[in-house]
Amino acid sequence: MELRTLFEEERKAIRIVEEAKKEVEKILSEARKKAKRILSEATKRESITAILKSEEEKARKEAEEIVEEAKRKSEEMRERAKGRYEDAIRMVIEEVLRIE
Amino acid sequence: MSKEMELMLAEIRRRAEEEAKKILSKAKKEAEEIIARAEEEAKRAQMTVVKPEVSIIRKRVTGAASLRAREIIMRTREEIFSKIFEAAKERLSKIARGEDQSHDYREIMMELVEEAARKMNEKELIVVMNERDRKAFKGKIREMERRLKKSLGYDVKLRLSDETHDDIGGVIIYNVDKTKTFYNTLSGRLLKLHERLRYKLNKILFEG
Repeated sequence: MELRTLFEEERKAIRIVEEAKKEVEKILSEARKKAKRILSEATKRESITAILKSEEEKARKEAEEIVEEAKRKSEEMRERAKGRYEDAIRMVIEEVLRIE
Repeated sequence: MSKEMELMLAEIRRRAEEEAKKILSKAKKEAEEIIARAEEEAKRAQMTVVKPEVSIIRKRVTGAASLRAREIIMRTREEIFSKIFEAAKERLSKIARGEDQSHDYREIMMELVEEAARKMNEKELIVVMNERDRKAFKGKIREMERRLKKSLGYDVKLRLSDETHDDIGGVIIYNVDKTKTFYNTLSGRLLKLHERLRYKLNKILFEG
């Protein structure tokens, strides 16, 4: 009686593992299907268009930063120059009046 | 059922479930790898297709921005240079009007005439001044001639022209038959220096 129960339990154990193996096939098959779909979608025009749109958006943001940076630099130039006007004017006058 | 038997059955179940769990977990990991590889490959495929277009887009969009950025910086620099040249012109005008004593305008005029005479290498010259200077220097022509003789080593006859120029100061000098002209006005000199002084101005105003 106990030996039969033991065999029964062993069979159940084998079934559990086999079920798991079947599930593995399902999981991998799904993954392969998904992979195939990903690859076939990748080069479709809509995907490409979406990428291009996103890249253009990235480039646009970068462009805005470039212009903003130039505006910041331009303000810095104004600020730096402010305290140096007198030296610059004096240098120009000296040069104009440097008569050979 | 004996206690030992129960324990044995439980152990068989536990091992089977553990094995199944391991198998499933390995499969899920493998599935994830399959998808990750596909995504990478898809990305590579996409990049092969979009790379040239992306490059064009980037060049167009950021190229235009870089151009605009350069323009902003250039305009700022020009605006500041203009202010400096305007202020310098105003200062020169004050010097010429005698309102700024930092420079001796009489001496400046002497040197301007002398420079022109040296470069023109003529025995007789016609000097054109603005209205104000003409009045102020009318009586100083002989003195100018003496000074020229001293510095050039030969006589140069100067004739103060009846015509005037409208510059802030300085002189325009002709030879008698007007085949040679030497523009030595203050604004003219300032204008000539605009390009040459950019480097120095840049250094003074924006560096350090």
